Amino acid sequence: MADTLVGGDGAAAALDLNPLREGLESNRIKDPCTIVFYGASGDLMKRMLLPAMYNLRLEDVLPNDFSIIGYSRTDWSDDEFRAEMKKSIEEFSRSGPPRDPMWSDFAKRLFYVPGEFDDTKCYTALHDRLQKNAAELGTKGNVLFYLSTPPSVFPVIIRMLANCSLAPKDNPKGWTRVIIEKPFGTDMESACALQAEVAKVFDEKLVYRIDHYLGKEPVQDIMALRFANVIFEPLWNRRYIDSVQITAAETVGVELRGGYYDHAGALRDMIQNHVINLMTLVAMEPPNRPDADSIRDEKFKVLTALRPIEHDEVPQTTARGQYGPGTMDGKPLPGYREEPDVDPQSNTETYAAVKFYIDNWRWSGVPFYLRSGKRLARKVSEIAVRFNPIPHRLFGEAGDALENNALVMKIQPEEGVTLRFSAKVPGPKMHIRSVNMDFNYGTGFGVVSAPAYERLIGDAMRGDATLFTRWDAVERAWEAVMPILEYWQALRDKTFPNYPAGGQGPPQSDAMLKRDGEEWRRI
Amino acid sequence: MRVDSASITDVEAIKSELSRARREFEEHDKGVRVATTTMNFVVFINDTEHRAWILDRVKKIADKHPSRTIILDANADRTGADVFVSSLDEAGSTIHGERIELGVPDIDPVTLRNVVAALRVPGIETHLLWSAIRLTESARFKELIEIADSIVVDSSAAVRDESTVGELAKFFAQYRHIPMRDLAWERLAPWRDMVARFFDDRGLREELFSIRKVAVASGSDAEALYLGGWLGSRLGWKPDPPCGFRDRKEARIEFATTREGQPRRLSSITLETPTSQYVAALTSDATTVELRVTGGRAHPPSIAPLAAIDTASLIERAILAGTTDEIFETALRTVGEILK
Repeated sequence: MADTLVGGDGAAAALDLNPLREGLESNRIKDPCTIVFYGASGDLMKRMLLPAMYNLRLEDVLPNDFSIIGYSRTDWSDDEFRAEMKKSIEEFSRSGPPRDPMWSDFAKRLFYVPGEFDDTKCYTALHDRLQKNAAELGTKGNVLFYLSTPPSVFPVIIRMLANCSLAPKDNPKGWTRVIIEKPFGTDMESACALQAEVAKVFDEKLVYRIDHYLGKEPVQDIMALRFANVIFEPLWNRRYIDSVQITAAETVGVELRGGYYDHAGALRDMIQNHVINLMTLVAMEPPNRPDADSIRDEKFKVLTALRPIEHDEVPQTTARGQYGPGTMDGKPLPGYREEPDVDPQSNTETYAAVKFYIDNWRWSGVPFYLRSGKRLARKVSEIAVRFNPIPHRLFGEAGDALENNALVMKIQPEEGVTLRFSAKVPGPKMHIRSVNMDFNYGTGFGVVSAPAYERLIGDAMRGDATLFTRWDAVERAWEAVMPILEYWQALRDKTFPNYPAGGQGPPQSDAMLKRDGEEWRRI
Repeated sequence: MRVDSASITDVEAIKSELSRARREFEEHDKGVRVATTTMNFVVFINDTEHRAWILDRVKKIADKHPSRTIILDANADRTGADVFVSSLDEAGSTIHGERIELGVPDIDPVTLRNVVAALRVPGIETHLLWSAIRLTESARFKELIEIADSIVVDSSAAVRDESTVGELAKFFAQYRHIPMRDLAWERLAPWRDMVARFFDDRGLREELFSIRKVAVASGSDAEALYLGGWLGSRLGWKPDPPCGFRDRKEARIEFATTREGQPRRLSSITLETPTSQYVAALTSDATTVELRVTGGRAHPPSIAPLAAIDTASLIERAILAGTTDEIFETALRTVGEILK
């Protein structure tokens, strides 16, 4: 018998553990599984998702036994799908063109099911393919569905999974999870309706609502900065912090997304999800444990403490803008209303700014200024924590401006942290000047961060939901922005367009901060 | 920037040159400069043949982990001290690395230790990369390990035979408290993972305890010996020289090594049980390994990526690991017994 080979009382335990694994670190996902991508012929799949899967394979993160199934309306065979995916890796993967034998091994695990999203026959074909892969490729029935289709199709797919025996309850021997791309609803009502459909089929622990911002390395570094250091947290409260500015600025316009964006706008597209998520990371209390629920509980608490913005407060606490024609790098740019698929009379905001207060012990009275916009002067995402002024001025010659200290967490395109503080200018006099102390990921650790999708897909396959948004947080975030959405929808902004493409945003946004004696950091 | 060679032990002169180099950065665009530093990285080289190779790897580490790098070059033609300050960003806005190169062919061990100690950035860890033909019999080595938080050696850097790993096993038997890592061992991590994969399925665990032959093909002996030492120490085998082990039931396990392929690279490992043969072999692509099981437990062949085994990554892994590694230590002890 085997147990006599290892001997002793620990024989059974020894057989449970592979002794060769001791001391071996591995990022490889343990559970075998199949990942099914809905919308597999779409742009996101080509640019991000499939290259992410291939890189996960190259870095030995995918489990030994896995398969990938693409599902979409495009009429491709398995081989045509493989050829298309190979092209997308050649064009978009950070690891360069695929090479054999790795590509051949990867490609033989790629399959495709063509079909409408509501066609039972196609779901039967998908079911058969999943069973076949479980038997032939050892994926053991574990399935992760990734919904990267237009949001209107999400409820259809969820219902069809239930109707065609592909729901978690139909898979007692394995697990069935779902990743849902943003946006999760277009307002509170549609989000609740979608959630109602999701909840009929998937327990909340099996739902991974993706916000790719949360997979970015510097976003994860916010928690490291706060909770892996002792020097910041004692200052991280209303006694020392004057205000927090969170910016997600883009230089691009709506590109080819005019049809979608004209029904969304900056508040829905960015503030309700990405930017509010960043705010919760800055404002949350330390979690008891580093697990998904502990962290998400703390983020949720921040959202429950958000002071509601009433309709009549919207003009004072928010600002909206829409870009008109302008120039960038000397090149003329069209206004939003001249973009393809955009209503020439559109009232959709391409810039949104909101002032929130978090009514709890830590943050009472500290304004959180959030802004996001398109066609701004510079692409920048950052969180700037501005500290209070010094209580008593000891140093500095006449004319020296003593700036408030600031800690800036840079998310993109630069990734890192800047601390701004005052220093003495060398010389006989006590001149004071503000200086920056920089840490950049690129020039600090000298590495390029892996794309967010690699991290997030890997986490979902592992069953780690830490970086995904829980329904209660989505609901609260909608609750926070709904009065603004309603007000803006009800009242056209006659000043639109009110900022030039390539500019700093609308003057209304500057005025909003000026009323508080503050000003935006320059984009 | 070069400091007068007569002042090689003049620490203040070297520091002054370093300050001057920093100021040159500042004068570049009148900005205020900052530096990010994670460690002191001390590198000893006396191997002319591999000098450029080692320095290239050291640069890669320092690029990724901003450091004060102190190169101790014991090659006879190297004298004096050079200091460099570098930035990775185009604007040069952050000082990323500082490098001090000292020509130390004649400096006595105690002075060398004192100079290095004085040139370190205080308050952060010091890691010693010892890249010399002789390892442990050097008096300089014994001095420098006293001021290092961790020591990284490479027992197959300069030789393909087992002499260096044998020397290391003897040294380690005497100095067990030293937090030491051997790159020849670190290089095996992905291969250890390949071998472990064969037996992750609980149903195959009995196979693991019935191995009767281990054959390793590699370009240097140290890696092959470590694989044997690791398997032996994990599975409770006793070395049975000249080329084998005995398991707990006294059954003999044949251990064969062959020199094949590039130095410091494994080519294949084969394990045989009474029922099956398990083979992990490097493919022609050299970045992937084919895993094959034939015989009673046959399994379709599969391809596995061979994760980062370049020397810079190994040095990084060794430095970051920090603490002692019990698995390595027991494997090294077993290697010592194999070589007795």
